[in-house]
This record gives sequence, structure tokens and C-alpha cells, in this order.
Amino acid sequence: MAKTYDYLFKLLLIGDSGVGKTCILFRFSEDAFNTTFISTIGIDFKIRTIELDGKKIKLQIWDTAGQERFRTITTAYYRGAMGIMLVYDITQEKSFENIKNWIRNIEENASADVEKMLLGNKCELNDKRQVSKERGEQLAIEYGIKFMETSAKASINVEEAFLTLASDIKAKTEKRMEANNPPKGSHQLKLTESRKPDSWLSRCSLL
Amino acid sequence: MVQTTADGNEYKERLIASVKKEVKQLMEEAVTKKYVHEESSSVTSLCAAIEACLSQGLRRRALGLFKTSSTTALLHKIAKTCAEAEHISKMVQDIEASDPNKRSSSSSDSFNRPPMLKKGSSSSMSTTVNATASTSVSASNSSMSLASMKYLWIRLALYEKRLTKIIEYLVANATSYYDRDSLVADADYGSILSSLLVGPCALEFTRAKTADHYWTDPHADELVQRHRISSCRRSSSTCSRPPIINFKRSLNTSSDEASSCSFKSIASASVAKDYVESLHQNAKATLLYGKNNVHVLPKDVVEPMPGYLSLHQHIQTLTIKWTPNQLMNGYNETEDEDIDKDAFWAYALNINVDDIVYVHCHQSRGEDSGGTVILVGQDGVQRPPIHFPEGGHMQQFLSCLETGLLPHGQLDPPLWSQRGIGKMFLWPRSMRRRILPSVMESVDETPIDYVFRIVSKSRHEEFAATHSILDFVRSTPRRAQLSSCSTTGSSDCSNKSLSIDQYPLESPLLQQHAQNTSIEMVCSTMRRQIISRAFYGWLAYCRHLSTVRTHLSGLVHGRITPEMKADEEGLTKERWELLNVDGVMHNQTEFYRLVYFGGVEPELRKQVWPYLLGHYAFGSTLEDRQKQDETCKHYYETTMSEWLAVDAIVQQREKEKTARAVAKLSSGSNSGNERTVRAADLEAGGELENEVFEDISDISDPGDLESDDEQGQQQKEQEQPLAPKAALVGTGSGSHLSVKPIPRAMKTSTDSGHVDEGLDDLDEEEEQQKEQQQDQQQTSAVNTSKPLDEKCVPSSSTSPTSSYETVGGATQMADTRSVLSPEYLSADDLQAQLLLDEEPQEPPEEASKPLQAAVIITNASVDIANWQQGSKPGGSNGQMSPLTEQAVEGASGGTLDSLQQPKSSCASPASSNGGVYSSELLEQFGLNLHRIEKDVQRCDRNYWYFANENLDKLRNVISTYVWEHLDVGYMQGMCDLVAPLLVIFDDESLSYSCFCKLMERMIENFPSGGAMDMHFANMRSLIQILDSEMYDLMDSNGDYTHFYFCYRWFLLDFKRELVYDDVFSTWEVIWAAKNMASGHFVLFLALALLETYRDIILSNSMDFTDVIKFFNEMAERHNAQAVLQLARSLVLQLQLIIENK
Repeated sequence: MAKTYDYLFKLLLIGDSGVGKTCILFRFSEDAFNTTFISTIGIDFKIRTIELDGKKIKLQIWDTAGQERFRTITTAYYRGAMGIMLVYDITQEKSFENIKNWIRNIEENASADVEKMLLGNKCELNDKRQVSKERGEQLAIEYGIKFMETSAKASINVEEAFLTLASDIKAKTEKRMEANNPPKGSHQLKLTESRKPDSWLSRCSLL
Repeated sequence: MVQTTADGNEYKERLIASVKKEVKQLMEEAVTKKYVHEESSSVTSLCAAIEACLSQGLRRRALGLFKTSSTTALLHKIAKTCAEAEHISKMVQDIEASDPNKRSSSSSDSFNRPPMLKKGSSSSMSTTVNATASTSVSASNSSMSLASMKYLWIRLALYEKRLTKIIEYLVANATSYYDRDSLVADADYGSILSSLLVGPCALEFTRAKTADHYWTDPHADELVQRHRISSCRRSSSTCSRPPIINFKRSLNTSSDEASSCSFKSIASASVAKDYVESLHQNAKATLLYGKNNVHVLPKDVVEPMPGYLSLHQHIQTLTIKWTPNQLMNGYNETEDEDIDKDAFWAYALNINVDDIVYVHCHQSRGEDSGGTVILVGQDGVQRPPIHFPEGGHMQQFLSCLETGLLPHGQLDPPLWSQRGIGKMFLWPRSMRRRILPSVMESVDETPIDYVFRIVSKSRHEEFAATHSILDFVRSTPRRAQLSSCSTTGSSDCSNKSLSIDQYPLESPLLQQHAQNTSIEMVCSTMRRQIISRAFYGWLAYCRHLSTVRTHLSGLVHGRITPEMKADEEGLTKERWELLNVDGVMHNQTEFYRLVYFGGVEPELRKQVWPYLLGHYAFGSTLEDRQKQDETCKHYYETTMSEWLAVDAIVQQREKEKTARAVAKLSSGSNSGNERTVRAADLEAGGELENEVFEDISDISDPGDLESDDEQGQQQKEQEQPLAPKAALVGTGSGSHLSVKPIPRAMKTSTDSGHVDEGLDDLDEEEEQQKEQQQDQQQTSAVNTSKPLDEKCVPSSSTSPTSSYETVGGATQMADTRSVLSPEYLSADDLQAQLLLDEEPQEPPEEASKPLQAAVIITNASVDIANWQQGSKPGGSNGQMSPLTEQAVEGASGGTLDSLQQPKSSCASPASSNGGVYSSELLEQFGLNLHRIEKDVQRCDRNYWYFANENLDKLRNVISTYVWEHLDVGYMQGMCDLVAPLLVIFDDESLSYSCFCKLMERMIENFPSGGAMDMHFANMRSLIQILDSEMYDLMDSNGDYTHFYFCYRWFLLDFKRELVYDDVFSTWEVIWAAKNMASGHFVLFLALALLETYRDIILSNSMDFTDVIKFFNEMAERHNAQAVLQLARSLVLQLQLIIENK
């Protein structure tokens, strides 16, 4: 099959069972919501190609079973992941508390420089809210990661979250790539400039 | 510069082939998706291929086009004389003019997008860079990035449907633009090129961004459909798959049905389909020979049918295909005829030459009268005769066949006469095969018949090498194919030996060899070496195989059960009646056999499944079973009442936790600093009613370990449990609460009205008084007896961290319990309260009930008794003893029924007794309940049974199981396993018992058990010996620890892969298989699923990721019966291999 993308990013969705990982993924990949979802068994993934700064980025997003019992399987997929979405449910205090455990889990299993992001899902259920936005933000700051409140049901911030994560990964990847093979004879362009990701330099190093 | 690589015809051939391939790809996409997106990668690659063709041999110099590698200039050039080109040229110029960055002459492979495509803001810079850069890149092989902007004019011409016209024009006027030896100028290739593009030019292209556009990888549906298209001509598509031959036939018939259906559905795309249809050459196979109007007389047909005969060279194999004309002629006919057409698929031939041993040629005397070829397979079966039209076509076919067989095989004797340079057109007599010498030589008028044997060189050598060790080799086929191992393997060998004995085929060869003795001498040493090397390779391989076999022999039973006769239909009602003599089931073997091969009639499942699952014993009488059911029911209800008590507590706790969190948020102290909040709460606690919730919940926060000292104190107090009303005992600061489950017993009937949270003070006071009374009574009773008395302790309460029990003296309780009580009551029903009124007074004799690990246990039987007794008037104290007795009796008696309904329909805590539970237990079970609830809520809600009701039943069954197996706990997937049972039985206790039986096997698959890895490893071994090609693919992608695509299959016994009806029939086969053929039938099912899509997986060379995606997308779309059949035959294959050893 022809390669139709510039980058392939593998992302992982983790979080307690029932926080809406599958729904978030479904919303992002098919822009739909289904109330009759079933629990995820084992693993699944979906693909969506997005375009960032003229680059086609294929996102391969892995959806995992939330129950910690199944960590043995999901951790097998930690390794290849370049970005991880940590999801909790704002109406479930416990799922928020468990984020700490998930992060520990990531630290143990994923590569050290994996991009992480914290999502507080089901933000449309404000009247059932148990975890305030501030707490989410605070936790994110604590871990130095980005945070968003999302709603797969109401389609709030889902797209944005993935685009943010993807562009962070992209920036990181391109930075690393340019550091590894600096462009020949183009001294005028420094790394800082090429933060703008679509400089042709980055393409050259890619192709 | 293109010419540098051009090597005459071969290069042209390649160019054309790549165009063909891309056209095919595009047409398939059009057919499967019903449209093609303009940005589709297949459009781009087609354009690239066309560009490559057009630039080959272009007379740049003559045209003044030195500076560019592209054909855009050519377009502009011909625009003057060709109307179509002019139109496109104008469009190109318009687009380029709209983008100032473009130099119009620059090229088509500049990165100028059609205007409808949005452009990245910064891409203009890169555009120029790339445009110049790309001139140095070969046009046929430019980078894929931003490819959608390339080949602008070709793209536009395609969208505008003018491309064919332009190419035709170019071909017609090739002399002025192209070198003489260029592709376009070539008489054949030029017209091929333009005609190839007819199909794509008929397509509609869309710019619309649809959901599909998100996906760059083809969806599983698309893959399957593509596969059907590409294999549509094979009536038995599986003939071309070497690995598993025997069972393919059955599988194919079904898949053919499916594919013909899909053809109807896509017949609308007739032009496209037509085109794909006529493309007989595909990317993987070279067309060696093609002839139309070859007549074949298929089975069951009276008249020979004309059709298209072709010979395809694949990498390893040679395939002869014949397709009836009716199928070749496209889809111009009406729908009705289309339906007829489906029948023709069955007639189409697809013959793997590897399977053919003899080629019989029949020709009548007349010199040029066509001829008939009959292919005889290794199994001795004749393929339908192929009648060639006149004109030496048979000879041509044979010579093509011979060419195709080289270098690994040959026709024996060779077609080329050693005498003649002339081809065998004349059929020199010396060439005749003498099968029937007498006939041949004596009667000149008889038809001239020849027999050729197809000799595979490798086989030949094998054969020679293994002749001495025939026995050994017989069971160890070269390609590790099951079929050849077992059934055909031995007959194959014997066929060969027969053929050698009977026909001295080698004699002419030997003569020939004699002439070339010198060469022979040189070769013989080499050959011997090769043979011995081959032999030792073999030997090693065979040993390996036998090791695998040893390991796999555990997977199947040694005893092979004969297949069902054709007229048998599994376990039908009549058969069930027959087997079930006087309600006693004796013939176990027959029972299993019927189920294994034919499944169970749906209406019978409710009766049959308990046997299959081992719930009912064979030979049990009706009474036995009824008794068993009753016992189970009682056990189930007892257990359920136990956990329902805990459930109530947990729910309460949950509620408060929620309330607390909400309150915390609303109070503004949402900084996450719980300590502050707690402090505030603590202050408030005990003073203000509404804040007690916060207080409680705070305390029940699992993380809260603050009040250790108080805990200790309370733990002591636990020793003397208290019965009644709810007590929320706040010690000291109130930071630690022992929550008293509220006995409804304490409620007066009027209280029942106060379901909601607020009870007025009066009520509270009354209650408090009563409670105190009760408490005292109870306490005294308890003190003299055992904690067992706590049965009467009601169920619901909030949960403190450390313990959850009746605590403390009545005086303490008085402070707080009133606040909580209304809450507890919320779930109560009146009856329950009334009944339970009796409970607290129950005497200690009750103690003989089983105890839970926790301090105090609930006992359902008491409950039951109370329920019944509740309606009887009577003083509470005096009634105790009778009650107790009744309760014990009630355990197995009719009281069950009265209890049954409320229990199964709701989770009311009222039906159970409370107890004192360790906080750990509560914590643990609460967590499990929470998970169960979550999963139950989303379990198969699309299935009618669970759409609106029955979820409680599901929840009850699972919770009961989890309560009984707390060490295991709830694991995701259990819901899926219970659900089908519940649908069939529609009875909680039976479902529960059967689920327990089912879990005996399934539990090992869950993360806590080790079976999954074992399954993966076994899968790997099975694939290795049953499908080496697949094994090679998988092996190159990783080891068996990557077999996660079958994780869900094994975990849930394929429940998620199939629709409900199929799950039923699959499950019963799995269960029956355990006693019939294999205790690991799931492995074979998994393998069957894999094999069903084998060609798709292989042709797309899917890695594990792709396979996961494929099967996740294919969930609930499988043909379960075909898969089951295939699985059964796989079991049989393995059994035969093992038996053969």
C-alpha cells in the first residue's frame, strides 16, 4: 500500500474503565457518538490521518481495556507509543485519583520521552461533576503535561486534544531529527527557526 | 534520462504493467467504495504510471522540451490540434496562473494543487524547492509526499474524462512526438495504454470529504470485497492456496455464495466492474496464455460452454483458469440475468498446475481440428475437458504450459521433438505417448491421443531421494501441508510410484541422456550432492515436524469421530426425544456427536446446554435434576442475599461520596486540598444534618486513615454488635464512623413513607427511642450469644474506612443515626420493612448458619423466614424461636419462591440481612460492584434481550459469582460470558450455575491465569504446521507473544466476533468438542478464522497491527457456519497427522 503520510504517530488512550476512552476515539476517528458502547476487551486501534502544517500525519490510536487487570496486555503497547492520552471521568473522583497510578505505569513501561496529555472527559455532565477543572489543571501542571476537558458526547475539545498532542509529538520528532542530521550547507536555518515545522529542511531530512 | 533505464520491450512491458496495476487498484477502489476521492493515493499512483509511459521516448529535443522532464509541455503542444488537450491545457494554465509561484512550463509534477485543495500556508516555499528538485527525480518514481499535487494535467484530464482521448491522439500522432521505439509509438502498447484508461476515465471522482476520507487504510470490508473481486473468477478459489486442500471445497462454496451476493450489490458500477473483470493479468501473476471461446464442459452441464482460458504464472505456481463467456461479458444484461450469472461462477475453473499430474490430449486425425485437453489431478480426478478451437491452439497452450513449468518442472515427454526444430504442431510419431500402444499403432483413424505427465523437478528429486525411505517421507510432506501430510500425501506418493512402474516414461529420456553422456557424467555427481543435501534438509525438517506434532498431539483427541451423514442435522427435536428416554439422557457419545457436527436446535438450547456445560449429569432423572435446580436456586439466593447487603452499603457509600464531591465543589473548596475540606466538614459534622453527609463521606474516603486510634477503639466495640437502626456512630471528632446498617426492623410502617432524605425530627426521635430500646435488647442478647446474631443486622449503611459494622453503645448512636436513617430507607420497600421488623428480636440460636470471613454474616434463610412471618401478627419477642425454625426449613422449602421475585428484579437491600464486614471486604467488593455496574450498563445493549430490561439479572449473576470468588474479582469480559447464557436460560440461578461451570475453563484465560500465553504458543505451532506461508509471514513480524489479535477470541470464546445466534451455535460446538474431538477447539476456530481470510492477510502482507485492525473491523461479520466447518476439518486434519505418525 502506498505510503500516504509523512509521519506515523502511535498514540495510546489509557485510563480507568468507563471513563470514555473508546468514545473519545470514536468521536475523533468517525466524528460520531454512540451511547451503547461496549467495554473494550483486549486492544483495538483506529486510524485517522490529519494534516498539520502541510504534513500528513497518520495517527494510529490504540484503545485499551481500562481494567488494571489487563495491564499485562496494554503495557505491551506502551513501548511503541509516542503519545499517551490519560483520560479520567470528571464525574468519577476515583478515575481522577487513579491517574497517578496510570502515570506511574507509563513511567515503568513507556519510553521516557513519550508525550502525555491529561483529559477530563464527560465535561458535558457538569451537574455530576466531582472533579473540578482546577484540580485537573493542577495535576497536569504537577506532571508538566497539557490538560483539557473534553466531551466525546458533545464533541468538545476531542479534535483539539489530538491535534495538540500530535503537533507536540511532531515538533519533538522534527527537532530530534534535525539534531541528528543537521541540514547540509544551510547554516542560515537554525533549529529554533525550524520550529515552524514545514520548513523544507525538515522535509529533506525526512525523505 | 528515462531512456537510460529503458531496455527496449522489457521496459515498456514494465511500464504498461505498472499502469495496469494502478488501473486495477483504482477500479477496485471505485467498486468497493462506490466512489474515488480525487486525493486518493491510487489516483496519484496511476498518474505517475501514466506520466512514466508518456515520457518514455518523448522527443524532447525535437519539441524544444529539453528543460523539463514532464509531459505538461507536450500537452500544451498538442493543444493546438487536439480539442481535448486544449481544454485541459487551458485548465492547467488557469490553475497555474492563479498561483503566482508556478512557472507554467515547469511541470506537471510541480506541487501545484488543484484549487479545491486547501493548501498549507507555508507550503509555497517548499513547492518551489521541490519543483526544481523533482526534475532530477525520475518521473515514475517521485516521492509520495504531497503527491496529490503532482501530475496536474493527467489528473485533470482524468477527472474531466478526457484522458483516453488525449492519449489516443498522442498514439495516433506518435511519429511527430515520440521516438520510433517508444512505448506510445509502439502499435500494441500505445493502444493498450489508451484502452487501459477507458475504465478510469469513466469513473466519477469526488472531492467531498467524507468519513471515509479520514481513513487512509482500507477498511476490512473493503479488503474483503477487493479480495472477492480479484478471486471472483476462481470457482474454487482455494485451489490456488496450497496449504489446506481437503476442506477447501466446502468452505469455497459458501464463500462463493457470499461473493456472488456482493457482485449483485455492486453490479451498478458496471463499467468499473466490467473493466476489472476483463483485466486478466494482475500484479501478482503473469499471463502466459489467453484464448477466448475455448469450450469446456463443466459438470452438470449438457453443452460445452465457451469461455476464456488463461494460464497464469505466479511466483511459485502455475494456474489454469477458465471463465465462462457469460461472466466475461460484463454487466450489460438485466438484473435477472445477473442472477443467472451467479450460477456460472460455479462453472469457472481454477486449476493449480501443481495439482495436475497428467495432461491428456485428444485430437482427431484431421490435421487442424482443434483438440481436447483433459487434466488429471493427483487425486486421479479428471478436470472438465477443455476443447480448443481449430488452429493449433491446443499446441500453443501446451507449449505455453511447458514454458511456464520451467525451470522447476517440465512436461514429460517434452513437447519439443528431439528430431525436429519444428514445434510439435505435427505431432511427430516418435512423440506419442504409448498408453495404449495397440490402439495407437493399429488403427490410424482413431483420434490421436497423447498423455503428458507434468513432472516437477523438485518433486522428482524428492521422490528419488525418498524412494528408499518412502514410509518416512510419506508422512512428512515438503511444504508441511496438512492435506498432503495426511490424506493425499500417501496416495500421492503411491500414485507416483505407480506411474513409474506402469509407464516407462523415463526410457525416452534415458536415451536422450545416453546421447549426452558426457554432460550426464558431470551432472551426476552434482545431482547426487543435491539429492543428498535435499534429503538431509528434509530429514531435519521432518524431525522438526514430528516434534511439533508431539507437542500438538495434546490438542486433539486421538479417536476420530466419523463425520455426520449428509442427512443428519445436528440435535433436532426428534433426536433429542429419542435420546432422552423417560427424561433420562444416556447416550452421551451420540449426544456430543450430534451437537459437535450439527449444533442444537434453538428451542432445545435451554434444555441441552446444562448437559453440555456439565451442570446436569448424564443419566440423571428428571427428579434429580429438579432437585439439583432447587439446590442451586437456593444456593444462589442465599449467596445473593449476602452480597446484596454489602451492595446496599456500597451504594450508600457511593452516594455519599458523590454528595461529598459535589458539595466540595459547590462550596468552592475545590482546590484539591482535602484536608481543609475535611476539617471544615468535621466541624460541621454532627451539628448540621446536611453536612453529615460530607462528614460521613469524608470519613468513608478510602484514603482516609487518620483516625487509627479511634479505629482501634471501635474495633473492640465491634465485638458487641448492635442490631438496629442505623447507626452512624461518631466517635470523638466524628472523623471515623462506624456505620450501622439500618435494620428496617426498626422502622415503623409509617416510616416507610419517608423514603427521602429528610426525616423530621419527630420521626427521628421516635426512632431513636426505639432504637435505643432495641439496641439494648439486642446488645444484651448478643452479649450472651454469638455474633451470629447479627444476621438480623440490616444491610444498608455507609462505610467507614476501617470497619463497617455495628458498633458502640446505643447512647453513642443516638447522636447521629437519625440523620442517616432516611437515606437508608430510600431503597426500602414497605413490605421489607414490615417483615424485617421481626428480625432484631431473633434469638441467638440462629447461630448455626455459615459464617463469612467477616465478622458477621448475613443469612438469607432467616430473611426468608421473616418475610413469611412478617404477615403474621404476633408479638415480636415471643415469635423468635418459631421464626428461626421456619427459616431453616424455609431454606429448601417454598419460601424460596416468595423471595425469588423481589430479589431478581431489584437490588433492594431490604431482602437481605445486614452484617458486619471488614472494611477490606467492603472496599474490595464495592470496587467490583462498581466495575460490574459499569460493564453491565454497556453490555450488548443493542441486543433485544438487554435493550431495556434484564440488566439486573446480568448484574446479579455476575455479582454473585464475584462474591463467591472475591479473590478473583470481576474482570472485564465476564459480562460477555454471562450474557448469552442468560439469554438462553432467562433464569438467574441456572445461568449462574452454568456460568460457574463455564468459568472453570475460561478463568484461565483471564490475566490471572496462564492459558492465554499457552493459546498463543499453540496457535503459532498450529499455524506452523498447517499453513507454512502464513507462518512465514507471521514469523517475520514477530513472535507469538504478538498474537494479540486472538486475545479477545480466546478470552470470550469468540463472543464478540460473532452475532448472538452464531455465538450460541459456536459455543455449543466448543463445549461438545471437548468430549468429541478436542478440548482446545477454540484454537481451531481461531485458526479457521485466520484461514478464512488467509489470502487477504497474505496478499496485503499484514503485520500484527493490520491483523488486529482487520479482525476488529470484521467482528460480527463472519460466516460462522463456514468457520465452524473449517475448524472441524482442521481438527480432523491434525488428528490424521498425528495418527499417521
